[in-house]
Amino acid sequence: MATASTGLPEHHVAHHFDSADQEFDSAKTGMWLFLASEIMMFGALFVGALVFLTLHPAAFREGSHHLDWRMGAINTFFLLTSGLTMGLAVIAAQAGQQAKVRLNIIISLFLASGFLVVKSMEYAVKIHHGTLPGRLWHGEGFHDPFAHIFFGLYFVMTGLHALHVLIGMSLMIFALIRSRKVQFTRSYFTPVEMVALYWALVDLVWVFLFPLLYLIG
Amino acid sequence: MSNHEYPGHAIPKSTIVGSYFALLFLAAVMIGLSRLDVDRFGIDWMDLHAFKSVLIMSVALVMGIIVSMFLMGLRYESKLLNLTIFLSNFVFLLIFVLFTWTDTSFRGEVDPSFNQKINFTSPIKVEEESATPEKAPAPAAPQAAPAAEAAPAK
Repeated sequence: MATASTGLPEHHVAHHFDSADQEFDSAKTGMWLFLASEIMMFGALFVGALVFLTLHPAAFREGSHHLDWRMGAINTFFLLTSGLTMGLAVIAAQAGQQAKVRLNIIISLFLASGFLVVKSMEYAVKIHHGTLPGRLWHGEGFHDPFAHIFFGLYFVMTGLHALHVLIGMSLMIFALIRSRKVQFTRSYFTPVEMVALYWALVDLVWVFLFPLLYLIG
Repeated sequence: MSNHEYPGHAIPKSTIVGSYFALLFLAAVMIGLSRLDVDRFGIDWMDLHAFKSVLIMSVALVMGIIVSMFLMGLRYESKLLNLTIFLSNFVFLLIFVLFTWTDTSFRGEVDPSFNQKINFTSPIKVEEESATPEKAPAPAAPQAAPAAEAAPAK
């Protein structure tokens, strides 16, 4: 294999596993369980938004009009493209191409930080307008007495998502460090695959968050 | 080289790249739909705004399916355990969404007092215009209005 070219040690299957296949599968099952719990957590917030949208559609529309869909569109592009590069990183890891794995993860990292930069620009505007959640609210010029609830949802949902972007970026850095210590091969690419799965979840949540908050109403 | 020797499944590059462009296209469709001025069509026998919202969320659902099927590799998942985790998660989410939504959206149809917002204080000072945002005539209004005035005193 490509071990000789990189000089990195190959991964050895842990002694409590029969094979690389079994080791990978148990990691993946654990990851699926974790992702399922993540989906349920975001699901609760989506239910909250859906209930609010049904009860107070006018307030939802008023809040939604204060968001800039262009910012959301740029962020959607960043996230989808980083999803692509993470997918390509997994393919490169399976092919044992270390340099390509690193390149793809680094591109993903840049795109993810781009996402956070745009997000913080959006937050700065919201903070300036005083449309903060709960007691911090001092926004003016709103017509619907329920409009502030939209921004409560907006901050909690996008805030939790941004936290996931941050965690995802730390995981990418972990995968980068890992790629310096061990050779990824067709039998061992678990770290890259799991980080890519986590990143796909970040994508998945955004795919619903973006239209719900920015485009509807 | 049978696939059983190796863990996981090698997803072809063309699939990843293809689903990426499909996602970009669908995102553009979604944005295009949201920019569409439905009032221009002059159709009044149905709520085009609501229809547009449903349409946009349906496109989002298709995008979500593409992400989970191809980027997350659910399409290639062969382990029954993993599929069970995913499907049961989806079913529970559906129960969660549907039961909560049907409960909250039809409250007050039998007993209108359910609609009263008890001790609801809005931080928003509604001073402009008529201050009747669609639902104000409901029993909520007499409760909410004095409470809203009491709020700044605190």
